[in-house]
Formats: sequence, structure tokens, C-alpha cells
Amino acid sequence: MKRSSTPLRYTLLTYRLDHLWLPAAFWALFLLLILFVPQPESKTNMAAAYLGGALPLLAGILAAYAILDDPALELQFSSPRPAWRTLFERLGMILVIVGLFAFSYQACMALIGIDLSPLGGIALRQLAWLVPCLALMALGSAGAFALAQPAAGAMLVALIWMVELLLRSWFASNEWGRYLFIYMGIYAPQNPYLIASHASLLALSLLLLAGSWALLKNQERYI
Amino acid sequence: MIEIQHLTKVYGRGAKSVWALRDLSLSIDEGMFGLLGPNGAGKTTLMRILAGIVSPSQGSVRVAGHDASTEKGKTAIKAMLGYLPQELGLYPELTARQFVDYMAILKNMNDEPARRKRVAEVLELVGLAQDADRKLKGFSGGMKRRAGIAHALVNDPRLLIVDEPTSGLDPEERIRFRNLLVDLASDRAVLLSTHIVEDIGQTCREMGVLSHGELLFRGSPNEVIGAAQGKVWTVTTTNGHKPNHGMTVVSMLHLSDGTQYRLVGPQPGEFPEAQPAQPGLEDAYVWLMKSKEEGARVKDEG
Repeated sequence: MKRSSTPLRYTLLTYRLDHLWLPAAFWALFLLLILFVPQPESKTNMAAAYLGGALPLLAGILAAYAILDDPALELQFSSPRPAWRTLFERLGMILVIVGLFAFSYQACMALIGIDLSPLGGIALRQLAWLVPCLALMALGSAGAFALAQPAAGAMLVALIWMVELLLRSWFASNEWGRYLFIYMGIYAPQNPYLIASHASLLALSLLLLAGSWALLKNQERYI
Repeated sequence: MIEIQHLTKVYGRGAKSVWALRDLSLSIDEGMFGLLGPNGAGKTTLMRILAGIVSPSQGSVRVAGHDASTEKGKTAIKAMLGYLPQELGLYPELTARQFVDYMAILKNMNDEPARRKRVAEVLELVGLAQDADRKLKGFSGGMKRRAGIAHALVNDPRLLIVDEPTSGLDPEERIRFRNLLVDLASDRAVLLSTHIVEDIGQTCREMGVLSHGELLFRGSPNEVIGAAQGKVWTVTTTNGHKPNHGMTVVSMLHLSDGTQYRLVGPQPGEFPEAQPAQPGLEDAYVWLMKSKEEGARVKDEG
């Protein structure tokens, strides 16, 4: 059977647009902070903190709410649309939104002369926000489905985010911790294990997304 | 259309488990079928199982030959289903037309011109053509219900399941909604779940009564009314004394010379002047539930 994809306008219109205030507010807040911080090195660190720290946290929280916060969830479940497609469309839209914030932020940094080269070349710079965003989105989504509560998924994201932030030195140097370290791209971009860390986080993200898919199929847990 | 055999649904495990349905067997054909029962009887669970959202714990459910306990069967059922849940959540920023169109896309209606035509048709059918381009957030409760039924009909379903559709509607909207359901039942199976007796009496030729997850009755409204013959009485009191010895007061009417009570139960011994009355569906439902409660009490005492 041929399946149609949901037009973008419906994906946007059915999304809780009030959720977008948070990343937009952080975008503006970090920009203001950068403008007021005098040292160039601090400006770069602040810019990196938004891309590789704040943005993944927000992406994870938005992902936790992406499906279970739908006001017409029971109607969605009564449609023959497969679970993977719902998951793909909702998380894909959040990734697009986060991507827009990330690119516009980098463009803005370039305009005001903030040097992001310490994070690596253009490709590595994109991986520095994209990989942690994907990892925390997958975690938020799987956590929300496993605990059948979007707030619980968001709390799980915030907890991991905070623990890794506080123990960043340990995660960056530990032989197992570095493969789960979401801030490697901004905290230790020169680390020889950077690519391996990104690869392991991507693999973990895929596993968590597969778990989300399996959990979402059990619809009766969420209504 | 629907064949249910020994259906049991249990939520949770161990000591905290809740039995929503117990060994339920039922068959439903085309036309309008009413499912009546008090809150917590298991009606919504049954509706959700039939809609392929909830899985049975035991027993078999087949809808138009599709097994509701397998993923493949559930998908096939959903493709031929129209479902209006009790808690109708809508997208406030969508117009009625956009909402029905979006739901049609989710139901794999891919041919855009044909889909748009069908969306316009169902909005016309439910009386929302004039308001089709207004946002849902500005709709009244009745209009939201009608938008919900439009979505349920957009794929021309063979089975339409409506769960407590008239709750919260004003009398005029309720009558309009009931008439719409009767019209729709002419060429499909419509399963109406409700705790409002009048809705069943006005619309259904066949009905079932569910209580505590068990099917108490299955037949026509006339049959259940017949079972209550000789159990309905009217008593007029002048001292305001309300009869309550083993009887259920169904209604009361204030008259110039006292208060007339309509009672359901065995002969009211304390009122030898009680007059037998012709039972209605509401009386019969009360008698059925009362018999069930008394049967359970005798069983417990025994």
C-alpha cells in the first residue's frame, strides 16, 4: 500500500508551537551573554556551550514530549499509520527545528566575529551539536515511552545532561566514559577518541530509537 | 462483523491488577448496536480493543475476519474503522477542514483531489460546511463532536465506533447527533457505547448491557423492557415520606396532592396502594443492574 507523508504544514500546525519559545529564548539569551562577555576566549566557550550543551538539552526535552503530549493521541493511535512513521516524523521535525537554531546561531556568530574554529572544521563543528542532540533526543523519547510519561523522559534527559556536565573531566578521560560523553565535541575536540565517541553515541542513539519504536507499538500504555 | 469469544482484559499484574473485562462473548452485525453500562463497566476498554488500540489479555476478537490481537490484524481493522473516542482531543490550531484532511492522510488516503472532495462531503454531512474553515479552538462542544464524527467517516468505514458521543452535549445537539448516527447505521455497523439510557432507546435495535466487565444482557431494547414487567410501580405519598425499602426511586413527580414516585423493585409491601406501571428502558436498565447487585450480595452471603 502506498503511504503518503504528512505535509509539513500539518506537522507544524499539530505541533505544540509554544514549545519553541524555549530554544528561541536560549538562542537570544546566549547571544546577549556573548555580547556582554569581554574576553574573546569566553565568547567562543559561550558559543560552544549553546551549540553542544544547551541545544542538545532542549532537543532531548522536546523529544520527550514529541508524541505523548499530542492532544489527539488516541485518534493518532486509531489510524493505521505504523509507529515508526509517527516517530520518524515527530523526531525528524524536532531535529529540523534544532538544526535551524544551530545554523542560524553559527551564522550569527560569524557575523559578530566569534571564532568557532577551536571546535574543529565545519564538519566536526556540526557533529559537536548534532551527535549530542541525537543522543539526548533518543534518550528523551525512549525514557518517555519506557516510563509512559513525557515529564519523566525530560527529567531523565536533564539528569544525564547534568551528571555529564559535572563529571566532564572523568567522562572525557575514562576508557568507557568517553564513549558515552555527549560534550566531547565542545569540551575536548582534540581528543583522539572524538570520532569513536561520536560513533558510539550514534550507535546508542539508534538502539534507543529502536527501543522507542518497540515501546510505541504498545499503544495501550499511553492512553 | 464482530465476533468476540471469551474476551478477558486485565490491566496491571499481581495484587494491583484490575479486571476490565471478564470472559465476554458477543457477536455484532451491521446496523446500530448500543452498549450500555455504568461508568467503569469496561465499555471504553471494549471499544479500544475493537479499535485495535488495546490488546486482549485472553480470548479472541475478530472484526470483519481480522484478528484484533495481532499487529497485522490491528492495522487491517484500523484501515476499515471510524473511531470517535470518549476523550476527544483535537488540534486547536487546525480548521475543521484541515483536521479532517490531516486525519484522512493518516488513514492513507493518498489521492489528494479525491481526499479533498471526501473531506468536503463529510463536513457537509455533519453540518459543518459553513464552519469548515474556522479553527477548532473556537468550536462549541457539539461542533467538536461533529468534527470528530466527520474525521471518523472520512474513510467511509465499514465499522463506526463511538464512545460516549453525547456526553456534555446540550439536548438539541444530542438529538441531532443521535439522528446522524441512525442515518449512518443504514449501510454500516455502528457501535454506540454510552451510559445514557435514552440514547440507546432512541437509536438501537440491538443492545448489550455491561457491568463490572461482564455482559449482563444481549438482545433488543424490547426484550430487556419485557424482563422488567411487574417490577415497576408508582406510589403517591402526601407526607413527603420517600419509599426506600428495597426499591429504587427512578423518578419523582410533584403533584398538587403529594409526590408521585416511580419505583423499581419487587412489590412495595409498605405501600399496598402502589400501582404497577409500564416499564421503560430506563426502568428495565435499573432493574437489571439491581438484580445483578442483589445476585452478587446473595452469592457473597451464601
